[in-house]
Amino acid sequence: MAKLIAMDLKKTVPVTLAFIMGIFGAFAYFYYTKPTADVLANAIVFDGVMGSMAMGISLINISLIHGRNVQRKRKGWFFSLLLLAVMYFGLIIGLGAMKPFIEETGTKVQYYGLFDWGTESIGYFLVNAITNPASTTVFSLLAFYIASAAYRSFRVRGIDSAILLISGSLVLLGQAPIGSVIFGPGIGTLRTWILSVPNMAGSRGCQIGIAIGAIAMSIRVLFGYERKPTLGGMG
Amino acid sequence: MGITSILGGLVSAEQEWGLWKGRIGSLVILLILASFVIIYLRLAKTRTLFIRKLPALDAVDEAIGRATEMGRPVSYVPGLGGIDALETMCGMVILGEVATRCANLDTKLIVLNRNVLVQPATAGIVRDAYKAAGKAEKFTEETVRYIAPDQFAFAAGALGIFKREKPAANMLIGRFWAESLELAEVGNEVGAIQIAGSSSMAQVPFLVAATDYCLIGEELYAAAAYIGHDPVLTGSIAGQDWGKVLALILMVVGVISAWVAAGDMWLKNLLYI
Repeated sequence: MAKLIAMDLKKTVPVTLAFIMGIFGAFAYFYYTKPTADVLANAIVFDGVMGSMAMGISLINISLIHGRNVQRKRKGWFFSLLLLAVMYFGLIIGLGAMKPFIEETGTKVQYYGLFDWGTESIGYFLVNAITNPASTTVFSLLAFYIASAAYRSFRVRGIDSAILLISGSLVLLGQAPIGSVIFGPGIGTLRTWILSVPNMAGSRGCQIGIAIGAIAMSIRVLFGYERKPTLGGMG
Repeated sequence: MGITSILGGLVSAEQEWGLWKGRIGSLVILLILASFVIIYLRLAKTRTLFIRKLPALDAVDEAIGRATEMGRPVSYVPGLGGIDALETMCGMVILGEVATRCANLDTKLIVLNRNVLVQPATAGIVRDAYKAAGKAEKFTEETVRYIAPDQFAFAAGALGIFKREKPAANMLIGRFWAESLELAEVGNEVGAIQIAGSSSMAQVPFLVAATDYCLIGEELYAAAAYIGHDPVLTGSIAGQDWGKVLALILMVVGVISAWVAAGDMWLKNLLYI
């Protein structure tokens, strides 16, 4: 019996809390009082607090998956080992970085470590010399993927793809300097018209639909019709 | 975090309480739209409503079936957004159904996460689906994986998993940014049937171009209600459609009135009360 009540509470309490906080958030959006605004501001801070706790769960997940790869010597196990080593090294460095670090440009970088081990410069190096360039490299790959996706999309298979090809080519020529060299300044005007009239009309139509869809989804979640996002595994 | 940054900075410092100026029109519209949805959610309990088909969702079974036949996994990315994003919530609802079908067919499912709060929530949803299908032992920590908090570190990790594990079905449903095209293109490279969904207008063109099926904008929200074939939830889609009818009427009235009254934007001004 007690187990049944506990199971029921596990479902009803999160849904009720979600309803109260959702209605409260909507109320605070439309009606201002200082206390409600303060409560809302503090409720949002909870997101950060929960995020910090959830980071531990994610750390365990990564450690288990890659630890098993190493333990069972699966294909590419060395990369898993490297990932674990770098991740825990970064964690130790982050824990020991407490003081602000001053860049060569004079910019102050704030760290929020737990111990004063003086590892700020190493943390700064890890982010600036390894993480940021690697991240930019992956971002740069996008140029090649855009080219291959454009190639597949621009193949004429029907009237829709023909319109896409023509309008896409005009926008491309209007954007690139070579377009105005070949076709004159009119191509730029055409590009602007395509983007600001038919494209904008379609985009705004979609945005209106999205706003209405978002309201419908919010109501389903708030009133407990849609429980998965609220319960997330407690249902 | 200041109050003004959260609430849009519209309140003046001396204001103690009251309705926000410029938001009354939105409140009225919101209440009308919400009442459409609530009315149809209630109506759906007593009568069957006609709901338009969403080809992308009809393809979910086909994609999972194909993965089962080929003995390859199904990969699922519930977006890179936070747990508070509505697209992520839709991604989680659809994930629940996908996980149930994968569990029933004994098909390997790989869920890839970027957000630390989405990770435990999706793990819980998938674990529940496996338990409900009587396959709790099939759920391991490798089913729902946390990759990285950085956008492109996540992308690199996910692309590596796509290349190594070669999913036969790849679902990208949630909030995406620039990495959407990378995920979709590599999914295409490994020969996966791809189903995507996003309400980000900047990413939808990429997903339409690179995937087989795409839930565009509001279809994503409709899909979350549609996928479980729950007649009550699908009622909200009918309410959503009436909301669009209202938006259309407002647009037509607005255009005609601005045209007749030579640029007098009375409707716009009314909505901005």
